Amino acid sequence: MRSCRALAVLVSLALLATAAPGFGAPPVDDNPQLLSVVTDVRVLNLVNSLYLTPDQTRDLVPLIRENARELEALRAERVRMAPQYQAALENLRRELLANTGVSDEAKRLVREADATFKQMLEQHERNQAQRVERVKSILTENQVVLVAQFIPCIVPVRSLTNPERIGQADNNEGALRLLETVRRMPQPRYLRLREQTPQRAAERLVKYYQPAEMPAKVAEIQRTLDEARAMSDADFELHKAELAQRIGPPQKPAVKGKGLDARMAEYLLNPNLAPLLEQRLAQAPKG
Amino acid sequence: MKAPAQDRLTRRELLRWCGAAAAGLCLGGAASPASARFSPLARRQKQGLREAMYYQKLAGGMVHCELCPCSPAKEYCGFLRDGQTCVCNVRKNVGGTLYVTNYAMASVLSQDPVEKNPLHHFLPAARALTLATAGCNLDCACCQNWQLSQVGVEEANSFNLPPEQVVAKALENRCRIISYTYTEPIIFYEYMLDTAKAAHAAGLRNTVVTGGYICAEPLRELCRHVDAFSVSVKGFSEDFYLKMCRGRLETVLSTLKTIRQQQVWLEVVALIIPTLSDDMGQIRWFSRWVKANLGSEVPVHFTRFWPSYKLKNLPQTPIATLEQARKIAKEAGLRYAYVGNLPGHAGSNTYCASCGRTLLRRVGFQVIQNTLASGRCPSCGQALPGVWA
Repeated sequence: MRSCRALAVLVSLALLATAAPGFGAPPVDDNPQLLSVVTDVRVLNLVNSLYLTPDQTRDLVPLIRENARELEALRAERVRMAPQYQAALENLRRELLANTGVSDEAKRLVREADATFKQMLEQHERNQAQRVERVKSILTENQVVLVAQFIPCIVPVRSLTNPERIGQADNNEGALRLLETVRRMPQPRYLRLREQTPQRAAERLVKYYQPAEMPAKVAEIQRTLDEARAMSDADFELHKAELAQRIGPPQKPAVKGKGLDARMAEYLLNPNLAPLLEQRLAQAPKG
Repeated sequence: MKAPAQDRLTRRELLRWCGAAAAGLCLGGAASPASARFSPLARRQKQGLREAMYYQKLAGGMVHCELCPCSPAKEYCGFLRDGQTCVCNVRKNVGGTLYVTNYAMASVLSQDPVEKNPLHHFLPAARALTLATAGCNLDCACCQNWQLSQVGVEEANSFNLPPEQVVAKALENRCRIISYTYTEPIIFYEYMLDTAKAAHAAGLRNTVVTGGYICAEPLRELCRHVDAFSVSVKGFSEDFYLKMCRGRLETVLSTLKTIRQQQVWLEVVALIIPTLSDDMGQIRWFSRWVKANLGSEVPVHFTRFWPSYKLKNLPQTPIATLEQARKIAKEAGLRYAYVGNLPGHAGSNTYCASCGRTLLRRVGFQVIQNTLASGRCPSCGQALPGVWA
């Protein structure tokens, strides 16, 4: 028999992990300090693009602090309830292994163990939803659109004069260079290197794809390089950005499938942001 | 036993004989099909050559270019000896005739929203095919495209794209507009003019993003074939223009007036550079000049400076400075003042000058909301100046 509550608590713990700084940075999961810095960088990339006014900053900070306090309380409760919860789950496991039915006592023990945590989590979710609405009212509509379109990155965009790419790292330069090099290659050389070139390009993308996906990626790169060579100069100039995207790193948002509210919560209510914003307020010129 | 002196081959004779043999080989080789082809560079150079439209032939094989006004800061302004290239890097005196070397030699071809020009009152959200060649007739210390503007065709990655093919590419990619921008389109005047005429014939519009450094006659001719100008004013004093751009402010102001007189849609872009062009007194003077000479309905964009080229030591323009400039412009009576290069800032939206309603909301170059009703405010009916269809 499945314990719905157990499942809900496990999901809540996962949620807590997502609320914690740094979730979603695949290479650094095991290093909390590094996670924290990665999160700071991503959040700052967004915040720097929003041009928050001092008034907006002052209004945001208390909301972030409130969220941080609730998260801390949730963490403390999780630590407190863990032994009791573990004992209740182990009891439940024994009964399930025996496969003679789950007693009311076992169910009661599990319910009691996570009752407080569950209530706190539900309250936190309600409060968080209200805070997100409040954040949306603090931002201008233009800023809300920027948050909705933000693609998290580590390295900030190089050319800040190109606002179409606010917050998005310029990570296709390598792909563009490859395309231009391949176009300049004499035909005999290109044919000689036709299999090797896509393989080498794909090796740089290994961390973004599963092993089973790599052959298809290599084939796509080869097709794209052939296409780039066959294009006229004008067509290449017009479409090089698209071609580079096909052979460069994928442009996936780190927050998959999450809507605006989730982004608001993850970035603009992130506990790490409060001290950063307070520092900015302290450094801002008075008057 | 040595040969008599008169029979021995001297060093001079040997060198002469070798030179003649080499010349013979070259001439023979030149007749071969392989060497009859131009080298890629020579081929490009030949493709780009076209006699310039505005110049005068002078005595002694000299020419005087009459496309751009002279500047006292330039070493030889427009007066070119045979073989000399002008400061724009693309006009050259060849045997007493002035040629442009970049005709139909594109270096940039891309698709951009028209808001990137920037033009905020011209066919919102329309897609433009953007065209540029190498070269420029100014040398602005703050240039963001200096790698292309301060070189000639030979040094840039150029490709041949005749005017009719530019138009074909625009139609193929469903662009309503062809924009001549990035570097200084004045220096590819002939190419731009021919393309603009072909564009109009095909039902497309033309916009020009320029520093405005052009003589009156070619400007008037250009105005007949262009639908909108975005003119960059680099600074607000003659001193700035001389030191930072090697040009004159007076020329640019004259260009602005001519465009208005020709009744072509005009928007003005003013780059605000910290410590160099952020003096509020000058900004106030300029705002009043625009109102008095161009009209209160001409949009002015105060754009943020990013360190580049020869001004990497300066900081970015503070947001408060841009906001203050915009405020001063509105106080001076300009109805449409924007901040630029600040995506997400409310100062990039368009508001009704009568009731204040937000008519066009922008984030970066995207128009995320357009509430105009046939070019009018849907609330109070006030007409918004611009080109909406």
